[in-house]
Amino acid sequence: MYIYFPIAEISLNLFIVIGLGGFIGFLSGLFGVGGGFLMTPLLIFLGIPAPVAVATEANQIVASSVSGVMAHWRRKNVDFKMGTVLLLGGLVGSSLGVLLFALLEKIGQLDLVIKLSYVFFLGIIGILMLWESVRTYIRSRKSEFYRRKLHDHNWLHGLPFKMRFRRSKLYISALVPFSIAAFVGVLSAIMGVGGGFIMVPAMIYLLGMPTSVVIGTSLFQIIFVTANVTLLQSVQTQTVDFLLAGTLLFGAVIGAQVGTRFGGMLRGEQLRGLLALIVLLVSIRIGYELIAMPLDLFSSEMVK
Amino acid sequence: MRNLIDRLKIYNKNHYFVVLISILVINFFFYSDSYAESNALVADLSKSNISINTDFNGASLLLFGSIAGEEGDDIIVIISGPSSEIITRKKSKISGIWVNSNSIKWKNAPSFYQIFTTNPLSEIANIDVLRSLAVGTEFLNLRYEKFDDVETKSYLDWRRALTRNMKSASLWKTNEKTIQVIRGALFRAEVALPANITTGDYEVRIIHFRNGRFIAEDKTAIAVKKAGFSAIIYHLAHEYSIFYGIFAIAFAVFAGWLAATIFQRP
Repeated sequence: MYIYFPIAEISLNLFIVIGLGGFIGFLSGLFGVGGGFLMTPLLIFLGIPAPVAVATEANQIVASSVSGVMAHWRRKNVDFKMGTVLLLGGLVGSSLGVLLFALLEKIGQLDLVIKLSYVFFLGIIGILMLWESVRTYIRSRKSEFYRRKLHDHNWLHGLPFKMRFRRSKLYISALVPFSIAAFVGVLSAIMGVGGGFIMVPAMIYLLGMPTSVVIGTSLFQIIFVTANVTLLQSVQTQTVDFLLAGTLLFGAVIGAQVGTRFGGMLRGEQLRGLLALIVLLVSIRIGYELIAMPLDLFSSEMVK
Repeated sequence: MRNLIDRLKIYNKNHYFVVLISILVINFFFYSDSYAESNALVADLSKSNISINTDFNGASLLLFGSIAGEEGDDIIVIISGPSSEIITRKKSKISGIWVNSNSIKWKNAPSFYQIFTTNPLSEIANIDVLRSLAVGTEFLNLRYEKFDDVETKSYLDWRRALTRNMKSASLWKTNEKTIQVIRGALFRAEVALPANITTGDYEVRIIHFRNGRFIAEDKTAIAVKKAGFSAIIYHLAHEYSIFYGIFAIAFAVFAGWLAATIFQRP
């Protein structure tokens, strides 16, 4: 059964789209990630124009983040004060990202920048996660007692505009989370991701937030960043395919539930190691596209 | 009273006479008309409106018609879509990575151009005849805008690349031997339009050939429009984009909330 998506202007098998949503939803439930970094490349691979894939995925992430944040909210695992600083940074960054997106599209380098961002950031995060999970695995084997300091003090703590974040047990300059969120916001708008895979490690290692509140707070701010991208792309490029987002969402919601249940059966470092491998594979796959000789050096595209 | 009936009869007689004369006259005109245009070509489509709704996955339609022809005559049908701007880009290897370097913008390229024929094009007519009738994408008079350092001498490479790219998207295509002519009088062709066609007015040209010579041409049109739910979404996205964006966000928030509520674990 085929369905024609009016903004993407492409006809796709309905079950493939729901299945894709379900598969990515399963992985996101399993690993506790948004899954945008897998969904957007796969949508482009299915033949959906990159601008539509990125903007529509932003719309879908709004829903999955709302759904995810509610469980964390109930357990009071959201630092709303930190979340607000992050979302302000995220709004600035994602607005700049949408402008940059339009500029890159105009000069014909959007595809390249999207691919390079994927290769670079997924590559780095994948390697770090893999290394971390292997190290934890070896440590647990040796059953060595290991304890990290709450957080390290460095030059970041000397910046002005200090604020107290009670939930995160931090007293740091608001500029640090603001800038991190702004940077991730730019990437979020260009790559069609929520940015959790960069935000979460940044919150743990750069800000020194307790792991318990990191995911809830990250999801909280992702709602606003992706909503901002959805709105700006709707106005600027009219590339948000509401029907496509809804169809993907349907599969993703069910997949996420199944994934969450499976996630309980695996150990934390095993999950992280598996996720790291997936992230690295995506990075290598996209990197290969950049290096391999294209089938046709020329490509043509209709201008709307 | 009787007088009146008689008069009516006479009137009727006269009336019959007038009608008879008219039929003869009209017949004569018709006859002479069809005689003068012995190469009359009439064609029609099974559907002249194509709606792109959410269940759209390409369209197939029947093109049929009659020719005043002989056994062995040929027909060429050209369907061309609304003209569009198309950017063709060329990749080059820059520090190990393939990057779009040069580009050219075609100002008036048809978004769709498919040819249907009874026989291979080269057997129907020679290239000069085809050129004079503008049959084939190679005879399109495309205007273009150069960017960067595209050299005019490489124009043909760019032109070929455009044809190749459009062909691989099944938008430009020649479908040889897809028209049947029955006893030199009737012809039919099944036309499949792919799912990636753009909306707009499509021109259909039907050309009749005999022994490599042009005999007659007819034209018809297809209108491709978005319809139903698909049209509503497209319209809202373009005309009320702010509200569309807000609605898309509201829907996502609601869907997320609903999912979390339904699957909430006690």
